[in-house]
Amino acid sequence: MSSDEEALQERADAALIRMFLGGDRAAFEALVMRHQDRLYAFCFRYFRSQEPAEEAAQEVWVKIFRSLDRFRGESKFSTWMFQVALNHCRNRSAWEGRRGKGKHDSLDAERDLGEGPGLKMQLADEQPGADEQLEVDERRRILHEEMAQLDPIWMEILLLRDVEGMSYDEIGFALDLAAGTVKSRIYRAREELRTRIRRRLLGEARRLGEAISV
Amino acid sequence: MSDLDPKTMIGPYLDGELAAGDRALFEAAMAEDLALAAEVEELRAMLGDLAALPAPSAPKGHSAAVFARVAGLEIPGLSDATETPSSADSVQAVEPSATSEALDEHADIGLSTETGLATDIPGLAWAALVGPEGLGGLFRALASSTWVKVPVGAAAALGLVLGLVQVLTPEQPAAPEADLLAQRSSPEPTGPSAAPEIQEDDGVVALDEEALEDRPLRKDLAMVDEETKARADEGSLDGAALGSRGGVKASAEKREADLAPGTKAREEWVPPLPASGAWKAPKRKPKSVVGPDGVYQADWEDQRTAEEARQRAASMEAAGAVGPPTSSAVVAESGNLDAGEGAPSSVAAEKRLAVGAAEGAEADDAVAFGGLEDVTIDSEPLEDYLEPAADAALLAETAAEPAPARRRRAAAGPSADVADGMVEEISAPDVVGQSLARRGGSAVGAAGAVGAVSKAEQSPSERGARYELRIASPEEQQRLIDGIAGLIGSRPTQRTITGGVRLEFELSSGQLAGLTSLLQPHSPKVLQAPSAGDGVLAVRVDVRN
Repeated sequence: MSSDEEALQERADAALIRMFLGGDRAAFEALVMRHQDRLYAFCFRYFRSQEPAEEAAQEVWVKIFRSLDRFRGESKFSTWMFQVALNHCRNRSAWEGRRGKGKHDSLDAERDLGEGPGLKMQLADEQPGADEQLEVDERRRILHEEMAQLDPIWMEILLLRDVEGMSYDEIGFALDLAAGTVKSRIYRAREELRTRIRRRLLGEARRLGEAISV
Repeated sequence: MSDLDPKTMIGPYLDGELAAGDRALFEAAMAEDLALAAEVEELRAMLGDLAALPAPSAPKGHSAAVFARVAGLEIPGLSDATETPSSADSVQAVEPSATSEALDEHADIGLSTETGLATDIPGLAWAALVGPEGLGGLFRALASSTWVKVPVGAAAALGLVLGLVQVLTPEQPAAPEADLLAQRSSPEPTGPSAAPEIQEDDGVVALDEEALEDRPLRKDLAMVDEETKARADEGSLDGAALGSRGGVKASAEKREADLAPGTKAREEWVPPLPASGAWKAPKRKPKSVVGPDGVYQADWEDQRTAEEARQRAASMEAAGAVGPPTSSAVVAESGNLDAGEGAPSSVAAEKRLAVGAAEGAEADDAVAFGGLEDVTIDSEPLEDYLEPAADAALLAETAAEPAPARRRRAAAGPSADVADGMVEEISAPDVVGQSLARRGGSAVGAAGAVGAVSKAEQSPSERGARYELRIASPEEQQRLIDGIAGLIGSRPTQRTITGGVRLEFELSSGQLAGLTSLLQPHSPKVLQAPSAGDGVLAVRVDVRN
């Protein structure tokens, strides 16, 4: 999306928020329709499972509804939305952790993703060629699983930067971090993920070699 | 950059966050250090995989669930008096721990709890004092004495939706919105008679809110679009759906005996209409016939009786401004579909429409009337003024013709070209809906084909929408324009009109809800309701001071 388009989107969001705060509930509905997929996808990536993602996304929208009067327009609405979502997901994740509900779906598990194709189908659609496809699928499966194993502090910033495509400034706003901290944290998060993936690939290669030798 | 470890610059480099000078230095460093370059590529691949992680769409019914959850909540910072308490009943059902969640939210949105509490105290106090039961009862009482004014077109659409939902319930799979309805604590209407009573008053229709329950208008409008689109897609869109959007209720019964050889009859579902008197479609008629410059102008004005309209049309005929206001239903019954004289150019378009509608029929057969439907017109808005064969033809032809030419031809005399001028101004989808609703080949019953014709034959402008509203404040006007620009991604075309500005733009069907939201605060008059279907809609909004 170009910066012009982003600016227009931002203005449209601002207009809808003004209308909502003026008493128009439908403006909120329009806001939901505009951003629900993105917010849901974020929650899905955070929890890697449909059910908690859906619950979390709904709860985030309720929080947004209740808190929109405190949105000052200092950032894009979407940035603020992710800030709310991130905090909510953290809290919910901690709450689930305390209750021992941290079970997540594997990437291999076919999921009902609403009206869209299943997760595996979506992955498969990305690449042509059977062999290449297998390799890409495998790489992404590992990436997905290793993301899930990352410390939340790294996982969150990677979601915001590398999945949602937020700028350093926006991330700084969402996480309330200085620009330098954002930069270094992104670097460390990527390094952490890359190291994990390397280690995982190495381990799998070793296991494969052992299996062949046996 | 020389002070820094090049490795720490990989990320900013890939993210495009490096300044031009640093970027050049980094690229120079990569050229010298192959390991660094390999690392960059490795990271680039990883980031590519991250970005390619699946982005699932929100599941079906997600938004409905969200709306249900917020239905009972107050809009923050708004006094109770200014907000319509539409569905407070659901407070308890969907927010079992409103207080604790309200407290919890302040941590989530990154604000201090102290600040949050200060702003949320009224809401909490309200919930605590009134309690779930009392709150619901209070709002029910308010709702029972409250009338909501909505534009005629919207009300008709809403009535249609309610009627359709009721009629469809036993036989059709539940619509997505049914999830939402099911969550509501209020009882569902159980029959046609439960459709909202519409009371006409100065161009607006008052709906009994109790009958509407707590369904926000825009959602219902969106439901209309989705409902009709879905039915068009699955081949079950009925003539009543399209007809009603233009102010016509039409019911039809397929009669295969009338079909010409080679014309395939399709069994289609035609819903019964709501009980007579349950709701009334708005009546529409041309407001003016000949403009000050002698050019034909047709505009539509609600709330005129059919009798008045007939008289006006008769005077039009006498003045030679337009062809005889023969009821198309009558023409259809006579089998004189192409109307012969006065509309020679209509044949081709009729043929196209008929081909689309007949779906598989030979074109000539279709033109030579693939048969007629028995059509009952319950109210009589448009058909009194249109040449039945010309309307559909002209729709197809005028799309490609510049407006001035149309106006010139319209001024020339009582011919198909005059009707052409009408078609320019008349809600095109309405015309098509009605034309197909009463024409041969497939007509009302061939609902799926209606969708196909809509998409294949209609131009964006023919599927467009027109609104008129008043905004006194230039700032407010600008805000609306900005909002539309934000919605469609570009500035709408602005034309100065008497006492205001005309905004013209195109938008997709999916953006319709956003547009409705933008316009709704200004109580727009719906001159032409958007029709169902995918694709681009041409929208015109007249903003008067």
